[in-house]
Formats: sequence, structure tokens, C-alpha cells
Amino acid sequence: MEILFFVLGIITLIAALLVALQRNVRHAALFLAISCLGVAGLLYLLQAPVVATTQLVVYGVGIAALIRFSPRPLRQMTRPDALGPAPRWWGAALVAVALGGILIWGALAYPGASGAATDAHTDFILPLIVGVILLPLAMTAAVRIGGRR
Amino acid sequence: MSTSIFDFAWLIPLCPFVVFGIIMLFTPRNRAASEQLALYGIVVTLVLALATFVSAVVMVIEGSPLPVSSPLFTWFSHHGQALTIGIYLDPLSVLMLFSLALICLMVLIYGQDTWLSLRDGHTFAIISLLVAGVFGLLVFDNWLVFFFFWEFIDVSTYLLVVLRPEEKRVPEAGLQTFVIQQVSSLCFLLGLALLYSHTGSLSYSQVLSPQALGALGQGFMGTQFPVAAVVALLFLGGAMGKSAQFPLHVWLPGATRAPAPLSAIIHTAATSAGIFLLLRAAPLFSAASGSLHLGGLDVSIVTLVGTVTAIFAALVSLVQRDVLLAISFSTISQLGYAIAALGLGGRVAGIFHLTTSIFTSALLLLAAGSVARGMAHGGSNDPNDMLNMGGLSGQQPVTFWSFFVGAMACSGLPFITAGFWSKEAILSLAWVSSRPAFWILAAAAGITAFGAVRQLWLIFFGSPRSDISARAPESPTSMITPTALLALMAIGLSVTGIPKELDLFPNLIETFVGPDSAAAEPVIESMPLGIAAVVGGLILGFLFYVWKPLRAGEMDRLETAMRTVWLGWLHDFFQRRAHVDRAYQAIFGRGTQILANALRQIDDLVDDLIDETPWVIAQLSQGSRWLDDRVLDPLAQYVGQASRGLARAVDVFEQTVLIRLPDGIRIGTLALARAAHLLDRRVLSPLVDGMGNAVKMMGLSLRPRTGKLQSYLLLASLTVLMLAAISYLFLHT
Amino acid sequence: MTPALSWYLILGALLFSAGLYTVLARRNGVIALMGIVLILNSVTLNLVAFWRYAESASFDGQVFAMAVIVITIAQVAVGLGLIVALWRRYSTAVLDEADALKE
Repeated sequence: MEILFFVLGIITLIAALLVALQRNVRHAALFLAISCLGVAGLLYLLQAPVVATTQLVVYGVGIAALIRFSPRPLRQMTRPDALGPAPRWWGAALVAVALGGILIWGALAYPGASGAATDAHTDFILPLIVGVILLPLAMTAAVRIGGRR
Repeated sequence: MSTSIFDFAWLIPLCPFVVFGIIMLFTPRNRAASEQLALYGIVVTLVLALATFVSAVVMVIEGSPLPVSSPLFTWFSHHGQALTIGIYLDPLSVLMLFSLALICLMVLIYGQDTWLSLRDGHTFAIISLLVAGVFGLLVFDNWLVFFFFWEFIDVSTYLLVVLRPEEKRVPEAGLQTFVIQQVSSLCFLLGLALLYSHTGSLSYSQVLSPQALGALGQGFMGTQFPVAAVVALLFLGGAMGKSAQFPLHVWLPGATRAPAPLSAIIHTAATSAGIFLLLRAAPLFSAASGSLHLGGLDVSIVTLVGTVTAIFAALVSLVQRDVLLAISFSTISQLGYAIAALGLGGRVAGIFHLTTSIFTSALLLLAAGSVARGMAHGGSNDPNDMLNMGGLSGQQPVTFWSFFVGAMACSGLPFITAGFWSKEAILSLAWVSSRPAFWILAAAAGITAFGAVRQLWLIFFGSPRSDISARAPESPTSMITPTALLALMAIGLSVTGIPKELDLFPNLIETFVGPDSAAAEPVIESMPLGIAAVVGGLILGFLFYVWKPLRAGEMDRLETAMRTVWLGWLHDFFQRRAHVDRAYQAIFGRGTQILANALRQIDDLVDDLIDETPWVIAQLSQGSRWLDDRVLDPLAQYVGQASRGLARAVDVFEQTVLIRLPDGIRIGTLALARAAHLLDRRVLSPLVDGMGNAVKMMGLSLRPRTGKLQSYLLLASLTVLMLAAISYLFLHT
Repeated sequence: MTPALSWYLILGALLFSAGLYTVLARRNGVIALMGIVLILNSVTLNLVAFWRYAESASFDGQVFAMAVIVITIAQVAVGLGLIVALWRRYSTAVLDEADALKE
């Protein structure tokens, strides 16, 4: 089974790195979708099918569809980006590597981390409620901020 | 029994959903291809639905009972909890499959003319999604899946309403649809959450079983009010939004802005979802019935909502100039009737009336669409304005007869129309349970009859009141045929629901659906009163509009009459739909703006506070400079003076005492004094000055000044890094 | 051998780094938003990994992860709206050019 982890992990990671480095915005969106699909696969591996399916549908299909069927302003914005990373890229890389390193060190130093054993009787309705309240608000806000024609 | 067609019932919603996906992915801009795909998908669905209905009827005739329930698959399971989804078909859902399938079929045929005016394929995808949502509600056995398809209907009705955003009033209609649908979905979802947390399951059979209902009888959060009642109220909220009950009705008239066939589907299929919800949850409502009665009234809140909606919508419909709005409000009124029936405990009556009213509404909307098309072809700017019509019975004969049947069915012409029998069933229930409700509902029936005659005569009789209507052609066969067929169905349905007591014909509906659990026997004695109400309305209509047909340029005679008795304000009040739209705008629109302004004030305050920090730091640095100037410098000076004093003392000492000491000692002492001078001048003062300057510099350079968002973010990440490093150090030493 | 918890956490950390770099160093606003999505993906991964290896009887980790996903997509929607507004105002989607706060 671990081969599946490695394959999915490498796909996810490489796709993420490509998002970080790729200049063409549309390609970056594609790689983002691939990375999200990879994470969805990993979540299946972790035996959390509901989260994995949500991840799959919401991210993998949703974001890809969003970029693909986007209205005109979005399409104009996502034309191939001729600019490279900003001059501060080395600082960003430094910080990213450093923080990532701290996280990795933490992961290695506390291997059998036990999750917080809460006793709360939650169920899946809760995120659904959050979604039903939050998503329409967010969409309305996005439409209002983006401006109507 | 081995596999039957019922096991394939899940295909009914699946086909249009798959078509939706295909169109969106592959042919969104290709109108012709999308139209073909959508048509095939929906036709498959309709065929399956009708086949299912036929099999069900056969089963009932053969004596084996519905409901049929067969599990499909287990979605996921974790530590013993599992979610299983299956098919559940009972007479109600099969009957709705039949009705909606027929109506969708008629709309599809009717729409051939409209599809030509669409620009791309998106619309067909959305129509498929709507069909998938409507049919998906009917076949599954789980509330969660129900909600899933309910949301499909939400999304697709919104998208269909805003199909042509450049037309007037469409954006507001879209917003109203969206907001009201979401509010009602939220109510529904909260009800589901409550249901789940108290019963641990969401499948119909488990949730509606006696044990579960007993568990729901406990008090809600410590009060006396049972959980079942809270859930029932929340479900009612969901149904009110979906089926356009007062005061959540404002979105449905806006939906008339969509093209006629789409508007017809929305008015019938989408709104029946709400009533279907109430029917499915009926055991819940009966378990909670004691608590649903308001105050001292003898009637449940469900009945209240339905009755108020019925009379309100009937009144508004009476004074509208726009024929589509008039029909839309009369649809709302019919839906109110159905809900009132459910509140009075009349399940059979409610189902029957729902079925008849969706056929009637679809018929009227399609016929009105045909009239509007004729007017538009005649060159009208506002093809729906009834005051410009007149005399169309000659020019659009088929449309006229279909509209006639629809109007009569809607008002409940005694004995031959389906609308009559279903209204009678409801009225007789009200007669027994609640007299006030009876009088209100009867009045609503009379007003609806009045309004129906008004519409008929304004549109079709007299001489044309404008040359536009003189020119209006009949619509193409693709439009008038389904309209006529729907008219036949409206008449045909009437024989299915005649109450048993009359001994004329078996009450097919009741036999199929099963009698009401409560022994609320419909009675006949209320029938004369009901007939009187309808006939009274018809006579009023005759007096106002038929006796002397309206001439061109004349104002609506009812309006004239009301103004004469100083009731003109009442007329305007209802014509503007009781200002409900404006009230919503005022409360929620302005309210949100006020809230946003208040929050912005707080935000500005925080900004100002942040802007003051450089001032604070500047003060600090000035403080340290003061410290330097007033305290440290003098201190250093004192040190200098003291060291000078010391030096002088040493001098004196030297001259008086040490002059006799060797020169080396004298020189050493002198050096000490000079060192003190040096320390003061070169080290202490610059140090203190430097500190003051350093603090000032810190104050100036604390914020990055580039204005670039990501620079700030970088700084923040660096800070996090430093904090992480510092806390590591603290934790580990 | 099945993957250990730390493997998932390390993968999450690496995703986090990639996302952080993307947010900080890419000039196009849309790509910066993608970086945020990457970061939140790593959060989701971590949450579910901890849940799985903690062997609890309830769904807590999954519920939390799903809430994160939902909130992320809402944030992406609003963020895209902001970028569109930026685009309309400044005719550019490059974040560095929106420096009206510069002193």
C-alpha cells in the first residue's frame, strides 16, 4: 500500500511545486487541480471517503471549472504571465523553507502524536450548515465586490 | 419479487443529471447539440417515469401494496455508523412522477419555438438539472439525498430566472429568488440537523417510525416544546420558501420574467417540491400537531399560512394588469389551498388539489405565453398587458379554448372541472375543522372565479382594444397542441376525485393514495356554499366585464369602481403586491447597509489607532531624548564635573600634598582625570545621544513602506519564523 | 509497511512550503490565491492524518477538515471577486502594482 502513498504524494508535491514556479496562469490552474486531486487520493488512502469526495468535487472539479468557464475579466487576467517571480523571491523561498523545515522537524520529533480526544458528538451536518450559510454569502460578496456589468 | 422496473427508478433523475454534466463539459456553446442532448435525456426520464407509474398502478390493481422500497448502496461506514441510500416509491411519489412527467412533456413540445431564441447550450444544461432535481426528490428514501436534489432545484431555478439579465427587473427577481431559496434551504437543513441529532438517522423509514417519533416528543433544549414541533416548523419554513407562501412568495412572480415554458416548469415542478416535503414529513406533523396550534386559535400554523396565502394571492391576482403576474399569483393561491388542506389533516385532499393545480397552472401559463407571443408578433412593447388585448378569441381560437378550460378549472366551475372537486374536498374539511378557515377559503374561491372571468374577458372578448391585438396571430402548432392537451387533462382529472359519498364514481385518488389516517370524513353539506361562492364570483365577473365589454383606452372597470367608492387606495395597494417587495428591500437592504456602515466606523477607528502608533513611538523616542537631555547629559556632566572636581581635588592634593611625591604618581593621577574627561566626552554622551536617535529611527522604520501586499506578508512570515525560533528556545532550555 | 503518520505530516509540510512561497513570491494575484489553496490543502491533509492515526470513534477530524474545505472555497470566491475588482480599478492583476498604500 505504501507505493500508492508515494505515487500520490509525489504527484501532489510536484504539481504543487509547478504551481509555485509555473509562469502560465492557466497551466498553474491545471496543476493546482492535479494537486488537489492528489490530496483527494491521499485522503481516500487515509480512509476518509467523505472528505475525499468533498475535496474531489469542490476543489478538483470546482476550481478547474471555475477557471475554465470564467467570465471575461478572469480570462483576461489569466493570460500567460510574462513576469517572473518578484525580486523578493529569495526572501520568500527562505521563509518558506525555514517554516517548512520547522514543521518537518516537528513532525519527526513527535511521531505518535495523539489527536485531541474530544468528546463532542458532531456529525457531518455541521459543515453542511456552515457551507449553506457561508457559500451564498461568499458568492454574493464576490459578485458585489467584483461589480456587475 | 425479482428485479422490477422500480429498481431502475434511480435512472429517472440520473439521466438528466448526466446530460447536465455532458452539456456543461462538452457543448456549452453549441445550442443545437445541447438541445438534442437535453431532449433525449428528458424524454428518457419521462418514459421511465410514466412506465414506473403504470407498473405501480398495475401493482395496486393486482393487490400488492405499495410502497416499494429497495436499498441501493451504502455510501460510507465508519465504526458501525453507515449511510445507506435506496429507492422508496409510494403512491404519492408515483402520482407526482406521473403528473410532472406529463407536464414536462407538454412543456418540452411547447418549447420548440422558444428554444430557437436561446443563444447557447447552457440553458439546456440548467433545464436538465432542474428536471433531475425535481424527479430526484421523488424516488429516494433518504432525507439527505432529498436535500441534495432540493438544492439542485434551488440552483437551477435561480439560473433560469436570470436567463436574460439585460431585461428589466430580472436582476432583482434573481436576487429575490436566490435569497429566499437559500433562507428556506437553511430552515430545511436546520430541521434535518435536528432530526438527525435526535434520531441518529436520516432515512424515511427510521425517522418516521413510531419509536423515532416518540424520541422526538421530548422537549427542545429543556423547554416544553417538543423537538418534533421545532423540526416541523423548520420544514414548514423550507416549504414556504420553495412553494411561495406568504410572506416568502415574492420570488415566484419574478420567475415569470423567464420564457414561458421555463416559467411554467418553475411554477409547477419547483414549487410542488415544497408541498411534497410537507407530505413526506406528514407523520412528523401529526406527531407535533398539538404544539403547532397558535395561541388560542383552533387551527394549526400550517393552515394559517395556507389560508392567508390563498386569500392574499387571490386578491393581488384580481387587480394585476399583467396577465402572467395574475396567473402567477393565482398559482400561489392554489398552492396556499393545498397547504391549508395539509394543515387541516386532509392528506388526500391536499394531494388531489396539488395535482389539479399544477396541471391548471401549467395550462394557464402556457396559454398566456401563447397569447403573449401573439401580441409580441403584433408589435407590442408590453405583450402581457391585458388592457391592450381584447377580441383575441377570434384570432387565437385554440389558445382561447385552452385558456378557457384553464380559467374555469382554476376557479372551480361546478361539477365538470377537476378544480371544483379538489376545492370542495378542502372546503368540506375546513367546514368541519375550522369555520373561519372555511369562510376565508370560500371567499378566496369566489375571488379567484371573479379574477378568472376578468382575465378571460379582457383578453379574449369584446373588440380588440388596440390594433396590436387585432393583428395577433395564433401560435404555431407546437405551442397550441400541448396547451390543448393539458386542457383535456384538466377536465379528465376531474373524474378521479369525486368524493365517495356522492356514489357517482369511485374516488380513484383516494383509493390509490390510501385514505386519510384520521377519520375526517368529508361532508357534503358544505358543497352548496362552495358552489355559491364560485358562482357568486362568476356572476361578479360577468357584471363587471361581460355585460358591457371594456372598450379601448378605458381603465379597468374594477379599478374604476373601486375608485368611485374611495377604495382606490385598496386597489393600488394590491396592485403593487402589498409592497412586500419594498418591505424586504427596506428591512434587509437598508438594514445590511446600516450594519456595514457601523462596522466600517469600527474599522476606521482601528485604522486610526494603528496610525497613532508612530506617534507613540515618536513620543517614546522624544521621551528618551528628554531623558538624554535632561537627565543623562547633566548626569554625564555631573560625572564630568565630578571628575573635574575630583581632578581639581587631586591637583590640590598634588600641590599641597603630593608635590613632594614623585612625578610618576602625579602624572598618573592627571591621566586618570583626563580619562574621565575622555569617557564623558567620547563615550557617555555619544552613547546616550545614540540611544535617543536609535529609538527615533526604530519608530520611523518599523513599518515597511513599499505598499506591496506581499512584502507585508513576507514580513509577517519572518516574524512568525522568529517567534517560532524564540519559542523553541524557550521550550528547550 | 503502511505509511507512518510522520510521512503524511512531512508531505503536508512540503505542500505548505510550496504554498507559502507561491503566496509570497508570485506576482499574479490569481496565482497567489492558488497558493492559499495549497496551504489549506496541507491543513486538510494534516487534520485527516491526525484523525486517522488517533483512532477515535467519532468523525471529528473529518468534520473539521470538511469545514476547512468549505471555508476555503468561500474564501477563493471572495478572493477572486477582489482580484476582479482590482482588475477593474487598476487594469492589472499583478499585486505589486496595487500599492496605493505606499508612503
